[in-house]
Amino acid sequence: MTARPLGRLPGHVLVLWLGVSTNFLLPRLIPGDPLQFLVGEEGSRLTPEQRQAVLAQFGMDRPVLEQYGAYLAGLARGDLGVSISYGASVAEVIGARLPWSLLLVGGAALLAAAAGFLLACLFHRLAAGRTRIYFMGAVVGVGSVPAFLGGMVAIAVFAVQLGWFPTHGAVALDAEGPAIVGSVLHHSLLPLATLTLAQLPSFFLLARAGLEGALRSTYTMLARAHGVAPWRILLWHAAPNALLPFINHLGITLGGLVGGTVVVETLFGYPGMGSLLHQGIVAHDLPLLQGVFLCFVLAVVMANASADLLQARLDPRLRTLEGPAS
Amino acid sequence: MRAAAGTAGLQWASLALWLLHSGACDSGRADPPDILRIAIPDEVGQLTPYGAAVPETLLGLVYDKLAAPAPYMGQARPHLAAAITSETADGRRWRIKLRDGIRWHDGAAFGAGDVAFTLTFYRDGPANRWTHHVSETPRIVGVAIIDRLNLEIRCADPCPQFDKVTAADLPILPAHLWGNVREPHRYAGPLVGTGPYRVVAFAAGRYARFEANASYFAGPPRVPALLVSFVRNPATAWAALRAGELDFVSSSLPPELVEPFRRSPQLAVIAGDPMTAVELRMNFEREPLSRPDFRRALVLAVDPDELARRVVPGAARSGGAGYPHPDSPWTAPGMGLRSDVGRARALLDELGFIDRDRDGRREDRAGAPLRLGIKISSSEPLQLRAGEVLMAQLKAAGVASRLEVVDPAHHRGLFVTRQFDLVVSEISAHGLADPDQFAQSHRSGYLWRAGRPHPELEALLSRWRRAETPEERLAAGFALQRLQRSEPTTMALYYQRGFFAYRPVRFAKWRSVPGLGVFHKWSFLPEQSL
Repeated sequence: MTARPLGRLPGHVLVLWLGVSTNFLLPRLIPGDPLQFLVGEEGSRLTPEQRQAVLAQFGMDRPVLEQYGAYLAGLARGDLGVSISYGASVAEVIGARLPWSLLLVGGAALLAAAAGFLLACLFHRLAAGRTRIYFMGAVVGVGSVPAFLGGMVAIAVFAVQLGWFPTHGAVALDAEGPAIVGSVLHHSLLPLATLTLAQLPSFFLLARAGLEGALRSTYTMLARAHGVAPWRILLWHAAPNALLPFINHLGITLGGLVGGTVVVETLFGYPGMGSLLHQGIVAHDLPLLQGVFLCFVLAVVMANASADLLQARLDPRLRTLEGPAS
Repeated sequence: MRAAAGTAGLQWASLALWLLHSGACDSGRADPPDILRIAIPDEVGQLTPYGAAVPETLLGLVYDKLAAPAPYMGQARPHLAAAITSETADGRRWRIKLRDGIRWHDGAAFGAGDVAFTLTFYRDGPANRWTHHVSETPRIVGVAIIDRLNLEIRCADPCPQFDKVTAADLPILPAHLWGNVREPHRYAGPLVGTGPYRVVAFAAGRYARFEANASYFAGPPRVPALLVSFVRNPATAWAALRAGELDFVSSSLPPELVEPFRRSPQLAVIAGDPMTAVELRMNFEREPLSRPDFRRALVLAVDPDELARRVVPGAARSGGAGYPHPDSPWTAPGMGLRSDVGRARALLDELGFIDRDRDGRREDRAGAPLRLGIKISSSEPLQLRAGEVLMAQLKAAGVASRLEVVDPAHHRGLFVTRQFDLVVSEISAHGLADPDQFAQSHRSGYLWRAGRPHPELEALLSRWRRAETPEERLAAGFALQRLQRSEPTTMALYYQRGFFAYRPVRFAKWRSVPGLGVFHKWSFLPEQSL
């Protein structure tokens, strides 16, 4: 059963290595100098010894190839280096931010997927004629609003005018005990809704197309001929088949979203990976950027691998094509 | 350019949207009134003098300096020190007598050893933002502890403004905690200072919580606790202020938002002078900007009055007041500039930049079109607007230009990469109103670069370094400024006024200190402490 995904393993490993190496290289192509951020304009006036003394604290005083070797060796040990802007281990800094992003990204992707699928079902079941056009226009229109604008509106209306939600942050700083859970949910709702709405149309359109194909197939025609209830045909017969490309898309979205929350996190002052990426770029913090990009690569690879595994489990045709289950 | 303009447009659209909600209700929580909730737009990663880009006013809550409040207005008075006196007529030796009875937040006694350690560590340890003010301008070559409360410092060259400038610039560290630190940029020890607030919680990049130091030598702070959140997006912070989640936002309001905030019944706006400017820097290492006459022609072509009027109406003073900061007592009188497009055109004609093909744009002697790039940070929509006005003004003198919007890291890196013709950027009080820094900027590459031949400048810098009295130093500084005026490498476009929104019902005793703005320790200390 897992033969196909395992067969793809070397591909995933290759992608990972390429990603890791690109992570190392790309930040170094950004014009600038981390010393500018650390010591201001005097960065360019330091003697070679002074430069080395500052950069040595971050392992950046060595030749690039040596840094690359140290980076790979560090990765093998789980050591991502030391952040320039935080003065702390990159792994620690990321460890403090990643859970917030996973909550936001995972929640948004799952909500968008569920809502998109549900709306697609409603679209097929309830809408007809012009209503279909309005329905589709409304969903695509809502999702086309840029996240920063939607977020600003959400803050202005729901946080400032109505006072229902906090404007920023991930948790109330004075929350203790079980109240933390409620506070986290309370704080995450607006950014979560903003991200969910931004992702919704792609899931809706994919599910709509998948359901349409499935509803035109011979097996659903047969079910209809047997007098099976329309809702049952939709959910029981058409939906499972329409889900397959949907799951692939969910995998891609999940991976991509981890790195795609910069705007929403900045807008809502949310302490996730997006704001960390922003800080890494602003500060020319090469070790931090390497670590953050590594997480993004891992997220994409793992999300795609998971989607492969899930697809193999859900689609009997894949199992048949690849022989008996292992 | 189009994409960048689009980005700025979106930012302004968000602000415009924001204005629609000027009648927002107050939904603030009833927090204990003894905690003041403040937002600053910086993601502070480390709360030490080695932290990258940590605001000095935030550091000032925890760490003190020998003199205060700032080195910008010539009014610094002994602070940690009881007295700072010149020992010799040549201004090379200074005696520092410290206040007795001061303690670090962890209870250890503060003394001459801490000051000696700090000066030496800044000079000899891995560099930080203050290193050049002990290793070069001035160059402190000797620090001798006389007793527990007295020490003597010796500069290689005269340092006649040590008491007013250097002493008011360097935050003092506790030797007992930092003495064995070899990697200060990675310092992970206790955040201990002598300042009016002690750090009780710090989450890198998120927030810092402070408690008042009740035994502070300048008087107990008026606010028992501060919660400073790091909120990068000012629009979000202002929204939080309106919603009652914050009590003060340290980002200055853009001109469009000042009145709506003033009209809000729960909010108030205080003006403060951060002594910052938006400037136009010219790459003096690149042709044709390496020619002083060409730079002068550009300065004449720019009308700072129009820029201030159109870009920041009512919220800034025109850069026509001159450079460096016109309010600083270290700035020479009569440094004002007057735009003169006619003279700019004549100068460019003399230099051989003439519109030969009559397309409205000048070409050089070889017929190559003259076209300058103006680099602007993508995070500064107001500066983008300034760039657009600048383009139009330069065009009136026949100089074609184009806006090049770059990300903030790239923008900051231009100082090293030098990949620019013109760059619009902001300069702080440290660069504009600190006389030592003005001289240093002629060596660092900001206004000139050490080693790049300029006999007149070198002579003036040498005169400045040799000046033994404050008066001689001031006169030498004025001469340097006049040279900068006649051979400009930068020009102030406008001097921003800061407008800071706050909730007066929570705390209303904000004080403006020139160069520090409004959010600083002096707002929380008794009136007589300053």
